[in-house]
Amino acid sequence: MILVSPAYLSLLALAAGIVLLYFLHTRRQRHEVSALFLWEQLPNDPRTRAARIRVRIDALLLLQLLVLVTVVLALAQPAFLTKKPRLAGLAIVLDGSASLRGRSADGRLAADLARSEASALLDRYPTTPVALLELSTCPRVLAPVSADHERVRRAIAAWEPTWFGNGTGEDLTGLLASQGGTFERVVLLTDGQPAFSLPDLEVVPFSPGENLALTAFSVREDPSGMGSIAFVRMRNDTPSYREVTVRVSDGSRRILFPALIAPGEEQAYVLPFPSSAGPVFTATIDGADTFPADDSRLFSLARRTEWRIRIVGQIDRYLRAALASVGAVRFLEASDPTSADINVAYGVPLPAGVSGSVLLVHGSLPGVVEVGEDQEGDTGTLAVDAPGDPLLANVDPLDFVVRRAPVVRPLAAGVTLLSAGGEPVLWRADLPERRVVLLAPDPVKTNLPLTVDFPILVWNIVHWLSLADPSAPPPALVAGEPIPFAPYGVPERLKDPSGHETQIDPSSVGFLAKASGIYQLTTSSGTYAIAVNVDWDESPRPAAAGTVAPAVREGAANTLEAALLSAWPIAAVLALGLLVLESAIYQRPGLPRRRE
Amino acid sequence: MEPLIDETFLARLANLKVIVKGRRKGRLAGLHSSPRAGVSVEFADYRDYTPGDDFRYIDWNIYGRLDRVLVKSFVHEADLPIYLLVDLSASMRLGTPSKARYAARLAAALAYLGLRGLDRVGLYPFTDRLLPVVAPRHGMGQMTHVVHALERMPSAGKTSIDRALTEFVSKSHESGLVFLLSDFLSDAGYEEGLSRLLHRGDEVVVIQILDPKELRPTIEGSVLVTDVETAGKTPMVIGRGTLALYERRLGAYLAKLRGYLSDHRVSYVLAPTDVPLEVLIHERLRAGGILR
Repeated sequence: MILVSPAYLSLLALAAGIVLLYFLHTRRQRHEVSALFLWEQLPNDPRTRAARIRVRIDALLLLQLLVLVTVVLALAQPAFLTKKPRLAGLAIVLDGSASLRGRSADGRLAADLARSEASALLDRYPTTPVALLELSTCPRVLAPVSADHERVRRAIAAWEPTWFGNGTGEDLTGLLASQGGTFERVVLLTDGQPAFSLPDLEVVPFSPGENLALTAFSVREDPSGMGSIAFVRMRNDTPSYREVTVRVSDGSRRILFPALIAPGEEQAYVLPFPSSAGPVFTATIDGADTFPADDSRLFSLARRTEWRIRIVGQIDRYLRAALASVGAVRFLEASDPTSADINVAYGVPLPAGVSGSVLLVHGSLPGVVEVGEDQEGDTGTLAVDAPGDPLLANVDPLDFVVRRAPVVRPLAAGVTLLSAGGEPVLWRADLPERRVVLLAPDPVKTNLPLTVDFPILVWNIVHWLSLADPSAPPPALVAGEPIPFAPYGVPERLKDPSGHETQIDPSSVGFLAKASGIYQLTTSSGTYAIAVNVDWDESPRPAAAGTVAPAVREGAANTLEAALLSAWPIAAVLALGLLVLESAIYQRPGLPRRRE
Repeated sequence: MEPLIDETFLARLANLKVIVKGRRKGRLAGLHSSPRAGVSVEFADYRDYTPGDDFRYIDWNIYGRLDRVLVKSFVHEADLPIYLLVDLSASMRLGTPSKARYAARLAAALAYLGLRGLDRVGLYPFTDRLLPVVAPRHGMGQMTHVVHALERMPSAGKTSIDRALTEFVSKSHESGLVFLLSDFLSDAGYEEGLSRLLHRGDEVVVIQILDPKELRPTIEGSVLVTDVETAGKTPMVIGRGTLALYERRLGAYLAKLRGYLSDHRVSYVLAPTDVPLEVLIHERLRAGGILR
């Protein structure tokens, strides 16, 4: 035993004062009686218990001295040298993936379990250099290798799991290498068996709790142009049948249905969203479970959330109103240098050098189609040349009346959808570099703007034209995955799911989505909704039957090293106990009370 | 502190009466037989009916109105002055509970019994002289005065029973039933005072109140024995032998007291303070023929 503060031992000199007071103090007790005459002249009793009392008094003195000694000892902070195991190095690897935000089978947060296990490891090796690492798709060092365990403990206390996916064996190898790689033990604290194995890696798994998960969610556009189709898959990782309500929404419409799902079963559904272009879709399931993050999934169609439409030539208010009803539309001036998603040329040829899809209204596009003068005389009845075409979805062309149609000369391969008098009235071409739609007659010379079907026709045209984006940005991503800006254009600003908007340096190449949700990215080519989900593999699954969690080995190669074990609390408790004992003896009936 | 007397305790005294051994000439109405002819049928008071009461005196009108069975009392019996002489010397404050407290509670109970029996009750605290008194009066209103005085009585001073009783005889002109509550632990004597009482015709009941540790002390070792009244001191080394001698001396003193009282037909009851008051009243005082 050693004393951390031996200077306090000088207080033992107080013992002399206690002994001095003891001998100076009269030990004769005072006893009051009603009548002294009954006591006077009674002989003293030589065989009195005084001797025994004296012993008890001496015991009191002894106890008082012991109290002093133990108090002084406590102040001197005694400590014992103990042998504790010591390793050359210990790497504590915390699984930082999103699944650690769930609850384990016993209802505790998996992250709390990991913190507890990490602290227990520190207690077991009080002098071993320790590195605290976090393994996820974005691995990082929480506390570099150090024997300063207080620092490691602070890092453990401050640690929170990410929303990212699982890390790989290569990630872990890289982390260990960054800390020198000389670890005698590497302990991974996770909520399941990792998908990789490394030599000498010890895994401490926590059993995940019951979970219902949306294991897949995607949306694609109907090839016929008739809206979108959603695909939903869910899994029941609980031991009982569960009835859940599935909700899928495109922001304006919602499909809701109940489903009974057996234990361990996966169910998939295909849900049509006619005439819906999203672009953001949401799927949710209800029901309490231990990992709510996978009860809601997002999907965003690779489409702009805003159309920039440039109108060249005349501006017809009916056409403009029909275009504006398509969705979020920003009209650009003809002279605006910003690139447009759709160019509308009304009554004039589209200027050369303009990129993007084109809607020609009584106008020409050099090299693609030429529109001449209107034919003389009545053109007769309108003919439907391509029934079922996406552009004619929900449109009744027989209501259209076209008195005068121009002469049209297609120069590129295209499809005539409507014709009058043998001349194309509605024509489309899907070219490698752009899509083109031609509405040949001047609308003011038809009844089109006044028909119910005109806005529907324009809606179909705009969506068909915007269907072919020049690039294919990813429709849905997972947290922790870098998102490149290139498919969307030159970045300008980004709004995260919490609504916080940041300006983006145009030279930036991408960003890291730290949480799930809808990110709004505005680039030179429009505003895009990017759906970010929690990694699909993060949905906790119960361990397979018979799986036995491997125990953390004690480390056969451990060496023992001296460690200080503080013992002042023991001395303090002992002093308190002695004080109570002394007081109890002092208060015992029959014992002389010096202070009376 | 525990109240001196409470309703529950009083309820248990309902069936008790103070007994006077001889016929006494009361001045006013009471429940004790009087040598004077009882000629009055004057209504005196109501009291709760107790088994054995004459049915004829039940007030049925009151029963009809209040649903309580009350008995009308009439002045056809002589009253009895009851004097409660309570020792308040310093020695009475010893013990747990103190002897003074025990005496005060006992005095309150006796006062209640006396007043309920339509007697006049007076309180005469004393030390080595008579302290301010509560003169004997009728009615339950007197109970308040007695209890109030008992609550406020401090214990201090020396004891002189002779002198106090002499003063008492000179101040009270009518003989009656005297309850003398004291520890009687005084070498100043009691014979002369008791003789004066007996000579006047008072019926005396001595209740000696002692602390159990006075009867069987447990003190041992080197002790400075101090008299709380005189402040006299005696250093002693006390052991079992000393205590045995003390008990023997105390026994002789008590035997002498009992002998004197017996010779003069004075009722005597020893009341150690570890005996519950109810036990003292219901068992020892009834066994001593003081209460019925």
